[in-house]
Amino acid sequence: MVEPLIKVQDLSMQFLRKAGLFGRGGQRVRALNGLSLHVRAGETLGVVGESGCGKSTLARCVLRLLQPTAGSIRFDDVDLLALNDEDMRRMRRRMQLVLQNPFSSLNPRMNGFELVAEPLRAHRSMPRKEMRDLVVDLLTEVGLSAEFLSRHPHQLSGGQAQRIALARALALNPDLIILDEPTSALDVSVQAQIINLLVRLQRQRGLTYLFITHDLSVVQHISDRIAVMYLGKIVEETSSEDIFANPRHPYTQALLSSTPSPDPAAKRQRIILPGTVPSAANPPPGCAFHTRCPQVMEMCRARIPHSRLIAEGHRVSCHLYEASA
Amino acid sequence: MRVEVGSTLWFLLRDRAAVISAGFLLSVALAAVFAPILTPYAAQGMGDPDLSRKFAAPGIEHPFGADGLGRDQVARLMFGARRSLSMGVLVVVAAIAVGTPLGVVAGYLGGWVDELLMRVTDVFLAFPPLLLAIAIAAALGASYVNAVAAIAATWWPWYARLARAQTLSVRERAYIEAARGIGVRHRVIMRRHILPNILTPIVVQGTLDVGTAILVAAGLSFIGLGTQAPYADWGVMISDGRLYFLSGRWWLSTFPGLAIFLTAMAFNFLGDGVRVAADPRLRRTL
Repeated sequence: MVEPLIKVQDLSMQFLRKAGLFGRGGQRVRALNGLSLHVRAGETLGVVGESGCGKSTLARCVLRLLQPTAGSIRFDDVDLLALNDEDMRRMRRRMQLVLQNPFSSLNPRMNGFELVAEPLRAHRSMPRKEMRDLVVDLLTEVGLSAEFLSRHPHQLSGGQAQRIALARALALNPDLIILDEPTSALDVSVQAQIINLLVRLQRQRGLTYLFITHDLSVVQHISDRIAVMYLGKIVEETSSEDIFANPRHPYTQALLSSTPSPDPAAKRQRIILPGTVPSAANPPPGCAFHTRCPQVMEMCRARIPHSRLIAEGHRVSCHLYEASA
Repeated sequence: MRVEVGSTLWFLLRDRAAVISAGFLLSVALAAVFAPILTPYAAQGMGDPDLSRKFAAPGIEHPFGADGLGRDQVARLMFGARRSLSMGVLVVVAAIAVGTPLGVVAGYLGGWVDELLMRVTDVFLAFPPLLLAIAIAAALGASYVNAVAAIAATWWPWYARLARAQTLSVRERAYIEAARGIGVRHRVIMRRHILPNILTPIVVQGTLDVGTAILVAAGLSFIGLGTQAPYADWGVMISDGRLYFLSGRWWLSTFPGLAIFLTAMAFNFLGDGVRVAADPRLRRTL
């Protein structure tokens, strides 16, 4: 097996929620709770989970925009958490981030040229003419033209703005792009265009994607493997065909049953989960999912399940499969 | 940015008080710049005495009268405007130039840097401003430049606080995080992302402050710590005329006093107009 481009192990991130004026001390919010995953060079890992499960925290920790409380992140065999600030800053030219809402992630006072040239200015020095040509090439690559050089974000449609954000991410020719809900703020028709663009860019440039979303149907087409996240942990991880054909974790099964199918003939039984996601400030003991799990057993309330390899490339953290493994 | 300035101007032109104020300030500024051409008493405006006209009352020849050295008050006001207006503007520009970067650094970096800078501003704000300005001007020596420096030294902490408060809100925007993710250096983020996005409230506050700065500068000149003879500014003119006010020569202090009053008020109206026009949420109330 090839050494993964990025390898995250036992990553934990706790936020200290400050107590109010009359509160009785702060509370620890466990956004990530011993999360492990890896992405091989050239592949796409889709990370799927409900809102509040820690997806965005994961993206920020991998880029070290947040300092994780515990665990390790290795990128191309470099321990990111051991780097000093300047080395980490330099490392970011190899790993870029695309955020959900392009209108809030693009500075409203910058025009297309300034936005796309920003990473170049941060990491390379080149004559202005050369930079302009490069920016135009990047705009062309994401399906825009030179006329966007002088446009400001409020003059763009959602899809155009997200293309600008992509051009920014591509400017330094990175190895890894972390996509944090890159299509969730867009219309459905535009979503498909952006996904197709991402697929094409990956093929042409040999990019590696860490694609974070709440929407299984979005990652289905683009991902090689899918990891399902629940309360700061990966509960199941397997190839993207396998997850639809053979979901094992009860949470994955519920998630899949809630995804609308374009085929009206396909009848599926919907699994309705009771309740809502427990608070990350006060996660349930044992398996974090036991409060909502339709197949809950006695041991689930007491013991935390370990991640087990139940088939080639298929990992599950669930007591149902502890015995069989 | 271009677009925003355009729409701000568009709304500003619909605010009558602001337009009239701007017109008034513009004419005062033009009168100050072109004073040597506009008045036949340019030499007196710059301080030369003409004792034959000593204490001439307001009339056709001297609409605002003449002072104890026979100098035409209109000319004195026009030449005085050069110093009074420029002092007001320079104080605010200097205060913004010092206060804004410190506030941005404090707000963006946080931690001990923030703590240190904010405690320093607290120390400056703890003094009564005019008293501190008097102390600094007295220590540096009485002159126009020192008066500007002294007042600016009492003023920058307000801009540091304003800039810090604005920075704290802009810092949380997604595009700041996006820039950090790209690997943009902190100082570039502060200069290119934070500064342009906090400038509007600072410009508004600056416009409002020019009037007050003119008042304070006049105060320093009034007690002899600002502009020095033979030159005059409006504060010096009030000070020179005050001894004669009760003996019937009311015009000596009244006209410079009115000039300060109207100019300060005009800056307030203009600043208020800019504040409303620059903020889309306030525009609707027009």
